[in-house]
Amino acid sequence: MKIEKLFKKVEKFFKLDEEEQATNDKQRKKLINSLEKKIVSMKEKIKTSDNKEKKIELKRELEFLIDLREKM
Amino acid sequence: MSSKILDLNILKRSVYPLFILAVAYLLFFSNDAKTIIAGIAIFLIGMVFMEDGFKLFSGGILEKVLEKSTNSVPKAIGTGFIATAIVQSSSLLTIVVISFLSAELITLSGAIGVIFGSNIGTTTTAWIVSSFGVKIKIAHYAMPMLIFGVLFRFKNDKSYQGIGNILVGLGFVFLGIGYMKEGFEAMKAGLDLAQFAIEGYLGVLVYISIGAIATVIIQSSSATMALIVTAVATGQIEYINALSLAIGANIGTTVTAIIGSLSSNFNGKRLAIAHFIFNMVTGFIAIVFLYQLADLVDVLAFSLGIGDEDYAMKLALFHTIFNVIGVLVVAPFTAKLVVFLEGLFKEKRKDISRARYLDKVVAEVPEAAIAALRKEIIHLYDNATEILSHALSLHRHTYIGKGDEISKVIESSVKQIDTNIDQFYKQKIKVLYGDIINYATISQEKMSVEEQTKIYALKIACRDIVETIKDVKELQKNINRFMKSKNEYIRNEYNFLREGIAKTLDGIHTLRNSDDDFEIFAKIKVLQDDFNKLDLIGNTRVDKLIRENKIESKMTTSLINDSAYAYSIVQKLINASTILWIEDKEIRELGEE
Repeated sequence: MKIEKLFKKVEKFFKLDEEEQATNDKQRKKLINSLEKKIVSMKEKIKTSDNKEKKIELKRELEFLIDLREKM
Repeated sequence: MSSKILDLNILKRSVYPLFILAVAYLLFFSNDAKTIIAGIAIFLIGMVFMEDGFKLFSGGILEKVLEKSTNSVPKAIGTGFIATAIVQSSSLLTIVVISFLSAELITLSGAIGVIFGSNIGTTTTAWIVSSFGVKIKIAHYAMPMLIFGVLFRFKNDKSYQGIGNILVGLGFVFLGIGYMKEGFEAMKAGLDLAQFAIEGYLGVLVYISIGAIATVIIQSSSATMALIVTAVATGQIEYINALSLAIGANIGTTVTAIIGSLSSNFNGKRLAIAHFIFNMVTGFIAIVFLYQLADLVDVLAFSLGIGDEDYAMKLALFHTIFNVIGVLVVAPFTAKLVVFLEGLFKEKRKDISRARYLDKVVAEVPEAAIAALRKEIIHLYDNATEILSHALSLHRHTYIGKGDEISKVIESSVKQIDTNIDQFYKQKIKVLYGDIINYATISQEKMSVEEQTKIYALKIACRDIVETIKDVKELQKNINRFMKSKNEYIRNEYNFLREGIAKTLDGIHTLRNSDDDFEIFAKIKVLQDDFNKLDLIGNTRVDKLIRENKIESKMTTSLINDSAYAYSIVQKLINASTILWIEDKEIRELGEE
């Protein structure tokens, strides 16, 4: 148990836990950024698409991506 | 091939006792030899600890780097060099590379590139030993490493245990070098091995053979190099003979790799031969131009500030130079080497009812094992879709990729396809399913919690796929019965169920070709939405038919039961797709909500 405590102190001293949190935040930001890009490109695709059925399908997909962005 | 393995085993079994006797003789009659051999043994234990440590500590980093940095031969060479220089073990890297190759995560040319780079990376051992291993009392540094290493190993966290193993490993490696050096120094006082130096090309050939045999016996070129460097540093062997020993160590290591590959799969054999060819070419160049290379080392050593008498460092420089030259000569022929090796060891066409990717070698590396399992479950999925389609009286090529035309295909496909689902299940699913579950359970043992979670999810996907077959078996009976019914209402309802499943399979076929997680996520969500609507519409339609007395009560019971089977199939297919084709954990979890 003493060793466990010692390691926790070492972790705090070197701020390893904070580092892990920072990495997670960074990854999430990256993910949100690429989702934003995907949404923009999908909107563009919908605008340029001539196929009506394809447009409807893409619009449905876009809605789910917008939902996902809100959840994130 | 099996008789060759048998012969080798017999040879190993008969030579081994003789080897043990020879070592025992040396230990009994020479205290100095005892110290040197103990040094080698401790060094080797250190290498084992270091390898284990890097496996635990890296947490898949090595695998991720390898997967992404081997798409061109120069990149693969760089990766092989850096990775081996850090982990100090070309054998660990070879295991990972063979696993990745078998799981089709990297190409054969990428894998060969890594092996080339690894040969240069392994020369860093000689640099470490010669630069401070033999110049300072390295054994003193071993003690704190061993103590802290053991303390770290007490921790439950695998990363800490990994660091602990690396420290213990380094400690033992340092201690081993210390003992080797001490043994050679003590030996010199009584017996000067340098008096056995042989000049000219006879000496070159004799010492190359000694280097190769020593490496085959010790099973580690790093340990042999450490031994050679300490011997040359203490003046126990002549510099020029040490150069020959280093060439021999390079050749000897390929013998170990080839023996190891005899029981390996075709990928292991291909890589072992590539390694063999590389080291033979490199060795040949080094032998032919030995004296010219020795002169080049002198020139370079002078410009690098290495002392004229510092033979240990000059040996390290020579080891690096001849491996770099080998890479420069052989690497341009990688594409030709790939063609040759693919022709030499062909992949056997496998029975589709058996596992294609679940290789024992792959199970050693968690990342590769997960990738192999995923591919195998996709293989299971493909077998399952064949059964599902036939049970719906459809052939995959008639509706996959047809999108909105699927309803027309369903209406026109009324000819029953004679399928015995039980037999089909036994032939194409049961054994494969068993193989997957066994493999998942075995490979899980060495995995981190996060990796085990992935395996658990894959097992669920696998179970879902298998259950769709059990569901469709129940559905098939009534599809065959009502597909040609004179009652158009019940016929339409069963076609409605067939269409629901077929459209889901078609949707999954489209999304699985994408490598964009967001796109796959959106498509799965659309499928899920369609499924929810289908469920609702289906129920409303059945209610209406009952109210209007369009179908008999027996038909109603069958339809309600079969709708449940159909919806269960669709839901399970969607669940399995989410696990199999969305790679990002966060997106997948949000998709499952």
